[in-house]
Amino acid sequence: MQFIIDNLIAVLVSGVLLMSLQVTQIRSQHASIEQVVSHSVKAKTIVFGQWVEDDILNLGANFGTNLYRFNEPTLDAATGNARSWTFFSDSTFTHDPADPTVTAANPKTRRIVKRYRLVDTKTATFSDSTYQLYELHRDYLELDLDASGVPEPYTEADWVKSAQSISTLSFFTIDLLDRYGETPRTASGDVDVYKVDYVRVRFGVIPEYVLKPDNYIRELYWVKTLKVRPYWVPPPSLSS
Amino acid sequence: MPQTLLALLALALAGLLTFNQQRLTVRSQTNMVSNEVELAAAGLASEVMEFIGARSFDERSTPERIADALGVVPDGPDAFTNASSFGYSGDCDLLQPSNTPSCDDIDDLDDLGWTPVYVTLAHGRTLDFEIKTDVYYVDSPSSMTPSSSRTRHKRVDMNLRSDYATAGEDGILRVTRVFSYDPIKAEMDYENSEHYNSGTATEEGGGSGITTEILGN
Repeated sequence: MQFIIDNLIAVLVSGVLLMSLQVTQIRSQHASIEQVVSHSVKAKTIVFGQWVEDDILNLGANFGTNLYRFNEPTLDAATGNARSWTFFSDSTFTHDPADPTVTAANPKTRRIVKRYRLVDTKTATFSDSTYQLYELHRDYLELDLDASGVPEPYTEADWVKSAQSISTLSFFTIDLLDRYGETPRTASGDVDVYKVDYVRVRFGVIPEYVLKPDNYIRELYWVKTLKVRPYWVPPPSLSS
Repeated sequence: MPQTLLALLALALAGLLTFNQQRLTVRSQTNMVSNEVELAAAGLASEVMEFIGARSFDERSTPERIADALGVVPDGPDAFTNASSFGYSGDCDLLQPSNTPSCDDIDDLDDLGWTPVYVTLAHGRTLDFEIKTDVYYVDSPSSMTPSSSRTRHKRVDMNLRSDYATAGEDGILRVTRVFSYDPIKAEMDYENSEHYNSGTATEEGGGSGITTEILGN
């Protein structure tokens, strides 16, 4: 006891020192982890964005000029998220081991159908709000065309899953727009897929790990607006 | 007495260490937020640039003016607006041009001061930005120097800034792109517009029609 009283100041100072070093250490650790998580989620966002961009750029590949290349997305009425979206392109082969008649002079065309599906994953709570998180699945189909160019029928079981996104999407929207930034619609209220000039895809991603005591949401926002309908399609007066 | 001095020295050192650590943490947080804002800014810039390019190249090539000229599409720069007349006194909606139909050609965006735009995140939260643009003629798509004469190419310079990211006077992001005049685009825009009434445009859209079934089902 006498020893502690004799060295009271030293005890107090060492206590304060130890505490401040401990706090510094924890904060430093916290910052490092947050930085790693932030870089990781940014990398995943960019990779996911890249494949969405590639899909949209390839949309309608090898199609004629008078075919629409996508359907209207199915929207979630409550959140505006695109729950499902199907789009098309063609692939032409000049060699098929199963069919020797396929040559460069007699190529074979298959229709590639891709579908995005938004799937619920988990919820995350920040401050007072609970966020539903999602994952995007990409499925595809390859369909043979008959003599008149119509693809063979398919069933739901024929879809093949080809990719999936990070599982912490906070939203995912697809807008089909004309050059004025509006969604063109037919008289019946459906999207007029022939008048769509741009496809805009937007999504948000939140980090997979959120460190306490963070009470705010970090969210990475990604958007890409791409022209999908080449304007060198003959003007109406020149179209047959 | 020496013990007290040593204690004070130790406290000062600890204080310095903590202060430095705090400064590093703040800097790291600022960098992370800037990083996130820059990613959003890059996407927003490309979106706005697409809608600038979607406008007519010149006032003379807008659907309305082509209709006034009885369907004659200008084929050269002689008819285009002088650089001294670039700009527009009204509002220009950068993300939804349909809201400002009179701001209908590329050079209307010349000398557009810092204009607020925002992106929408989850749960209706928004991230605010400001954008300014300048437009000028250039001699070729690769030229960065303004041309004194009218040409077929207009360069758009765009700057973005945000309160959430540290930046200089020019903002956090600068994007530049050249748009070249394409008479076919002008004709397409005209023939897909309400000003085209020859009756050749189809009801369902831009002169297209389903020639083959997309899917057999």
